[in-house]
Amino acid sequence: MTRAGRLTLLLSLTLLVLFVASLVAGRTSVTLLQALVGLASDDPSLIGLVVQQIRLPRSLLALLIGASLGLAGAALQGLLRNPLAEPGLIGTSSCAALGAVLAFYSGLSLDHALALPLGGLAGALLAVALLYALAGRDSSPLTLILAGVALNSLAGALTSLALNLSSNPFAAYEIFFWLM
Amino acid sequence: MSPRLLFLALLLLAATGAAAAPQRIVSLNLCTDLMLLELVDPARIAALTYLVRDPQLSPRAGQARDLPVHHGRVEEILPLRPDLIVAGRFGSRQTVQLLERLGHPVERFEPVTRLGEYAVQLRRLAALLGTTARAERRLRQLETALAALEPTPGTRYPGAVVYRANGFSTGAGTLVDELLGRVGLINLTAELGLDQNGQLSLEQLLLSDPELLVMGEFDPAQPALAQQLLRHPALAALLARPGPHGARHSVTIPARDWNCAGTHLVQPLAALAAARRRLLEEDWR
Repeated sequence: MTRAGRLTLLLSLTLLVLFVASLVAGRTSVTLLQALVGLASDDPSLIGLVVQQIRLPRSLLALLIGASLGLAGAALQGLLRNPLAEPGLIGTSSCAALGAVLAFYSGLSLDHALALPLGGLAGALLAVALLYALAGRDSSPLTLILAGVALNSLAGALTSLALNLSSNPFAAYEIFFWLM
Repeated sequence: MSPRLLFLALLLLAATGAAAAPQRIVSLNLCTDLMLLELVDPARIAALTYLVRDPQLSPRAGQARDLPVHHGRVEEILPLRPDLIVAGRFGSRQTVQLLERLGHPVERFEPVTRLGEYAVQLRRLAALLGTTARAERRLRQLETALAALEPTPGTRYPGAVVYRANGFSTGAGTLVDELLGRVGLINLTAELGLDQNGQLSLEQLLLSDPELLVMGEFDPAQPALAQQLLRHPALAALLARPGPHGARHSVTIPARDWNCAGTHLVQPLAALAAARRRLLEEDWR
């Protein structure tokens, strides 16, 4: 087996172990056996509810989010030829957050569940279009990153503004969440 | 002293007594706002906090709609020439200190955590205002309503959990805890060992196996991540599953309805008692 193959196998196994471990981790104590039984049950006990409704969705989300972040990171590291690159660098993350904030706090996502992810995607797409307009066709990585920094600041400011304008007193506290 | 002179003296005493009772009252705290609304006519209120008019925060927003309000700043309060200022222990601290330094009479009231404390406070305020009869009437009103909602002796106490935005719940030592007990419910948050107000994780809530979920308000007009937790699918799944004695129910009681004590508590308490009755009727036999 090649070195890369061995590494992939090792990481996949680690992922599997951590995935199962995450089903056991939480505020209440649930044993591994209880978690697995709860997961398989059709008419779950209360512990089964905890595992099926709270912990499994959480673990699956972590898996999916991790995979897409890894993918985006790899693409940008290739594009910018820098091992430290990530989507936050060129402003797509913060523009996606802005799109999601607008979809959520306007109440759109309460009526249409897909509005939230679509809002995020629209924000990210808009960020790429703006980046292209700012940096131009044959720009150097440096120009791209500088344009990204500008987009980042703009989207962060607009996110804070949108949350401050919300009438819900909790919204202002949630700025922190969306800027992370 | 001739009877006529005695009568005159009494009249004079009554007149000075009336003049001594404050006529331009300012309140710096939402709970004292509500106490004033219980005790005096609107004409004697110089200003309440702006919060009392906010339907999101105040159970008497409608009643206070036309009353003068302030935003807790000294420059708003001084021109009102208040002859009594009532304030809470916390909040508007600088305003309170400045007003005291300027020689205005300030009466402070602790946050209420028991109905008994509320009765003491209401009587204390009423004595200052000269409306003790009205205070007694209000307290009797509340007690009568509570007595009517009390559980039939020998009936079972179902377990309840209060769940609000961001997963906040009410543990032991809170007014809500006492009220749940008075209508015949067990506050499971207190059983879990939470004191005062604090966060309860969704997992703890599910495993406490509540028969009654007392939910905070979910306001679709004002979305926030904080209240998304109240719509978590796990709660719907819990309600769909039979409880330890048969049924499970949920009832929504906005925090504003029982943050402060007063006769406005009758409404949420009636809702709780009705939910409890429904649970007991659906018990497995």
